[in-house]
Amino acid sequence: MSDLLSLGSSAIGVYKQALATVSNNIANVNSDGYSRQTLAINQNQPVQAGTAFLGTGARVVAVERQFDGFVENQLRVSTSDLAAQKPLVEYTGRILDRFASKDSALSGALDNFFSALGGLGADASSLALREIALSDAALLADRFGALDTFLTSQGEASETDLSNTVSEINALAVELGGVNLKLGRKDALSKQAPGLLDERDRLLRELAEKVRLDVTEAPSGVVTVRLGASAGAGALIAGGEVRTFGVQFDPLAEDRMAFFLEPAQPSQGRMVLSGVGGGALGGLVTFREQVLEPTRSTLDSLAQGLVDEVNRLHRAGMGLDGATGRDLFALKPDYRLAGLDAERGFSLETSLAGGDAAVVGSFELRFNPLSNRWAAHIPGAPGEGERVVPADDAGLITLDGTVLRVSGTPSGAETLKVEGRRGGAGEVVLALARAEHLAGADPLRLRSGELNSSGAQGTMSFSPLPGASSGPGALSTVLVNNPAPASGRAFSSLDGTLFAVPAGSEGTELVLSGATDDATDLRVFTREGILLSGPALSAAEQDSLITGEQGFTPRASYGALAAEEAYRDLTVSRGAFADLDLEGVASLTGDRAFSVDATGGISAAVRGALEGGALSLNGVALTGAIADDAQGVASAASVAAWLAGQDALTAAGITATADTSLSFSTLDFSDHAGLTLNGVTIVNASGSTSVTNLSELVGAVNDQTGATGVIARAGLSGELILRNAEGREGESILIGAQAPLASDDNILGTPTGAYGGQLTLSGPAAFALTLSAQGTPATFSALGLDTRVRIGGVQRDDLLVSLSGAETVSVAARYEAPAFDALASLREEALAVRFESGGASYVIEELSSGTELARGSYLPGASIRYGGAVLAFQGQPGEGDVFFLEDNALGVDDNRNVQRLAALASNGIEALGSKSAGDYYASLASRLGTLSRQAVIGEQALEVVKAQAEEAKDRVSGVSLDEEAADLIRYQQAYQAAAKIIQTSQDLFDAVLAI
Amino acid sequence: MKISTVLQFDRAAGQMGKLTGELAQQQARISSGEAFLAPREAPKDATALLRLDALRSNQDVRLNLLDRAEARADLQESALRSVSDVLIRLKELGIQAANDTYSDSDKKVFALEVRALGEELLSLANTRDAEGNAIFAGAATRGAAFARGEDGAVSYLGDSTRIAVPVGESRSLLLARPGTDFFTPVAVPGAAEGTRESFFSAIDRFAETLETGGDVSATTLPQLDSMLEGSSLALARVGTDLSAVNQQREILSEERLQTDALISDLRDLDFAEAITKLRADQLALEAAQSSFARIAGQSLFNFLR
Repeated sequence: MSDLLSLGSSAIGVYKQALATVSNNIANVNSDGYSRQTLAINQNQPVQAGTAFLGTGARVVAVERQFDGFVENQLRVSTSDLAAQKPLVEYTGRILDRFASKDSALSGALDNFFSALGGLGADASSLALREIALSDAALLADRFGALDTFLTSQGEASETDLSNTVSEINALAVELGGVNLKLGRKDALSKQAPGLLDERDRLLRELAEKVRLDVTEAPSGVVTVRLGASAGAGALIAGGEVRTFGVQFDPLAEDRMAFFLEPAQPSQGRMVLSGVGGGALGGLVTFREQVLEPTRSTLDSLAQGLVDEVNRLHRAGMGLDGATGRDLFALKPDYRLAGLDAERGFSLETSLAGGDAAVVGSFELRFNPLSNRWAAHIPGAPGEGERVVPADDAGLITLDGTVLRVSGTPSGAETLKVEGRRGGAGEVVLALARAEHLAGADPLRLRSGELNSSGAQGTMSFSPLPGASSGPGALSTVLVNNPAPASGRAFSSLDGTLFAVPAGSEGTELVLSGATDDATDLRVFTREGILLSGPALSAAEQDSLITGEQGFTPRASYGALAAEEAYRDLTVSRGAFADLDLEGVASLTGDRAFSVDATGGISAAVRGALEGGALSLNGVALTGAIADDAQGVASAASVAAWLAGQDALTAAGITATADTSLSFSTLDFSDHAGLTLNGVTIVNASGSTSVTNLSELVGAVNDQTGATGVIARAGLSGELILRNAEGREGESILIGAQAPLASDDNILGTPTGAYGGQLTLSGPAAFALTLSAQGTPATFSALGLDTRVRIGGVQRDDLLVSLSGAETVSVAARYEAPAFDALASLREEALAVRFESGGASYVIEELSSGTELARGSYLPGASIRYGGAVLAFQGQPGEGDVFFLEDNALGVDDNRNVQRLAALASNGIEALGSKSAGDYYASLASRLGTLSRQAVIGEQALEVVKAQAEEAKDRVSGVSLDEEAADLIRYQQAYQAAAKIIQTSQDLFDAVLAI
Repeated sequence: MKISTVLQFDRAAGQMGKLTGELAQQQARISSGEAFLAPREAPKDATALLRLDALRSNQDVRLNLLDRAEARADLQESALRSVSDVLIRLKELGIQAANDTYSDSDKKVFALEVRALGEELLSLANTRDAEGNAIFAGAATRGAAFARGEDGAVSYLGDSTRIAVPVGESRSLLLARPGTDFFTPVAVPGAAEGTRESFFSAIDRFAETLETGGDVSATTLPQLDSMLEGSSLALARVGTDLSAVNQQREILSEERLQTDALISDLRDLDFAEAITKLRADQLALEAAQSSFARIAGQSLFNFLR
């Protein structure tokens, strides 16, 4: 129906609505998240009147929300990106401010510490300067701790921020879930209330400020929001369903944190999300991963590297009290409660018990409600039980040098897991208690003789023996620690030096067995080429043996001790040794039976050697003629009788006996076998040599004891045991076959021949049966004894051992090698270095004993090395010049070590990549500066991006009052015009009525 | 291009806030006189300063050590001058005593003075510094440098350590030398080649020779000559040390000045520049405020009356 009135009234209705929309825009000009609305106006369907179409006015199609999804998304992304920079800029700036400010940086404390050490160099004995150095060292330790504490506080602050952000995300998610529910009631976006959509977008934008979102929109406008990169992990918000988002921190590593979604059903596990970032949350994570943790670990490395290097130098130096080996700093082990125990109100405090502390990797603290005490349970190595360290009465657990105190109230039995690692910056403490102990001096000095003719000056340094680079291995690497010959190894003189007996060894005993040649013996040398024991070397042997390849000092020259000459406090004796046993008896038994010839006696050569004084008892030579035994030979019995008759033995109450005891288990009773003992044919009761079993054999032998001097008995496992009859102990037993059978074809299944006896010496006190200078191991071996080389006294030098002669023999050893302090040894025994031949050669002597330790030619400019000391001379030392290498306890003003410490101010430290501590710290600060700069630049760039995105959105959705004012006028005019239409219609009607 | 009313106001407010903040910071810099208030404002300069501060502290230590070396050399110089004086007096006595006109009893009188001068030399050899350290004892500064033993002979109790302190990158100076460098042993004339006796033993023998009426011309006089020579040499050495101290101090002071200049460049505020910037910032803020006032007044509604 097209008529003026209805046209006018519909237009009035439309423009009233249009004006209302504009008014609504104006009303919401300051509403957060409001999108401008416009009224869509369309013409009504025209009506046909004849051939013409007449318009029927206008109608309202919809109130349209001005909105662009793409622009909205851009804004959300740029919001996330910018929000991520903000905490990064703030936190990094804070750390930089602390680490690079002149008052709180580590560098100031480092400078003061090194300056104090440098100043101490001018008067190393000054207690005042020492106190300053020590307090600056304490301040350095404190500064490390303060920076570490600061990092921890920033870690905790960022942790709180992260947790708060997570809670905010959860709150926003719940709100958004509510909006989603409302949106879900309509099926199309166009049907949704614009305000609801504005609310949705506002919430999404706020969420994006906290964390980067992955948003998918359903046709109805319902959104699904995911966090992170793992699409399969489930959504934070899906429709009306909202999951709780959470974060878990690792108390042991600040750069490790896990984000997760709580399961919808309690029975399901948490869903761990990866790649969660962006927004304030992402900024905090980036800060912790890329700034906080690297800064802390760099600071820890610096603390460890510096403490190790300072301590290494400090230990080598000497304090005013003359002591060496002290640490200046210590690192407490870093023990932390792992897992959630810290959150349950438990905490752990550590301190050093004093001295070195070892780090225990991981262990448990368990509380026992019965004893009302904590105890540390340390798991043992595989196969070992756990170690339990309970708390003392004060509640303190002392674990490998660290004192632990657990705080917190246990409710019944508790178990806390503890992780331990090497301490870092937060665990640096001053270890030195007294200023006098600061090691400013070197422990050794090289003093020139007062009347030295030349003006040559000597300097010395000490570097612990590096271990011979060439030559044989140490005794412990060559032989097992077992003196039994079976544990030995076969050697010959061709092996050169066999092994080195390291300095500091105690009670070393080398066992030589199997020598038959008089030339076979063990030689014991010092590395300087001085022969302490064994036969002298020929010139050819000297040339081939005394070389660097064999482990001798380069340029060592051969020297042998004169007879009866002692070498320092060392005694090297060869022989057999009887030590007192628990019953108060010292006894010595032959290792084997005597070696006897076919007649049953020792060889003439051995007999001659014995009579010539080859043996000594407790240092007294044994001499005199050896009488033949009853059989007319010099058997074990004769030697035992000879020994027993020696004054040295009777005076010491030592008895010497011999006994021949033979055991045979492979008896052969085949009818052709027979047996003679000491030349007497053994026959059974019926006079036959055909003995068929063991008891018959025993009987047969015992029947003829009178003639043979041998008695027999059956052993427990069916063997035959033959022994000397009473009164004939020690005589050899001659075993023969019955002629004309083969020589070893006898009942005993043993080669025919003479079998010697075994020697036994026994006395009430320890004694030594030793070889004198002319005695040889072969002589000893003939008596059934292995030669033991005992190295007694204080062994201050490495010794090298070789073999003489052409035989291959077995050498076994017993040893004990405690750690040797070469420095302490040099300090205990002063040495003199004397120059001879106009300064062309030198001799090193031990001052107290006068023992010559080394001798060599002096090459001008070359250093002289002995026992870890390196001596260098400026100027040519002259004839008779002497230099004393001695303890430096009096050299209180010696500043050599404190200068080495002070030089660390600029010297590189290997553990710090050969940078000095100051440079290492400066590069840490520089890195922080770069990070801070980058964060600021990133923020500025992202601000521009966000501003552009805001403008783009604003262009679409923003409300401009000018624009609204124009619209207002436009719609007002249209409204007025529509009103005029109605008035016109009235006028027309009135006109019609007036007709 | 459409700008919404809210954005227009937000932008203007943000702009002005930023300018106000910068002004406040600039003002704080001017009042503190420092180029930056916190390292984050100038990370590069702040970290460069850490290195420069370390350098300066190192230079301070070296200058300090130079002072110590100078004090020590001064002390040695004055002791050695007295030693020279005593030696000259001894030489006079020696020449007099060598004159045959003096009887044995006269020589005994000389001997008394020689003994006294010997003791004076011994006390000079045991000179200590303000800290109580013997200055002619090497590093063994606690006890006496030279002391008379039970047998009456003087022996050197110090050591041969030379205490050096670093005063430059590769330059060090000796703070202490062994006492035998100053009180040098002398050859014994007439004895086998290379036979020497200590400084104090030569003086004791001088006195003994006089006491027994012996002749001092053959032995003591040449020894006194070489002692005087040794003492001059020692003085020359100390003089060299002192000139090295002065030379090194000049070098170090120059370096120190350069370091200070570098530090000041980075740390101290350039006031002219700072105040210019303050003015510029002020101007910018005023302009922003007045333009905001104008633009905010511009609204279509104002014209719809």
